[in-house]
Amino acid sequence: MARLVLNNAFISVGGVDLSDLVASVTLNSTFDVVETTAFSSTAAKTRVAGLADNSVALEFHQDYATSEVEQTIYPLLGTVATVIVKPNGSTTSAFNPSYTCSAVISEWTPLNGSVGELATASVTWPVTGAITKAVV
Amino acid sequence: MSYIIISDKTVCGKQKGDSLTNKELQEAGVSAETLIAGNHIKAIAGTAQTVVSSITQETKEGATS
Repeated sequence: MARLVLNNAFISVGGVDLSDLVASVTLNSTFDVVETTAFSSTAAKTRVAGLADNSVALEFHQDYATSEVEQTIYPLLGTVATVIVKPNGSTTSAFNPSYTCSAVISEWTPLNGSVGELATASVTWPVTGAITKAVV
Repeated sequence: MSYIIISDKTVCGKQKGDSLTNKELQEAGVSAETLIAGNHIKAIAGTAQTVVSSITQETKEGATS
């Protein structure tokens, strides 16, 4: 099994491929742990998985030019947008699965950075519903 | 309604100059309004949906029909 150095991840937000302006991507999925310990559980506590809580975190390189990051994300603020992430390029396969989710565009930083630094925008958007994985 | 891609970015897997239909946007879960606002697509002239204006029927007071 080959290791993967991330240098060609695919990121689409609201139908727009922004891969060339994203420096970091994290898909996160956690499940609530619901305790089910009862009086009959004499040896140890018992638990089951509860509801999933998904989110997607992205670090954008800010770009105010036509059709670039700012013009793409700003109109999506306060809406739910489809986010698609793939580890290695846009072609979906068993070795390059596609993860699709509906993200609540709940935050945006139009301007962020210090003197001499690259203008960036880091966001963590909660997902409404599940993350769908596809391999074809 | 159909749209043409005017963005240098790939939109719903298509390139600048390609067309997109409402159906394709819906299947991708994408909003045409936000793509227009982001200067990614514009409507193709002549493909606008027919707008049917509301019909108001006025009746005289006391009329039975």
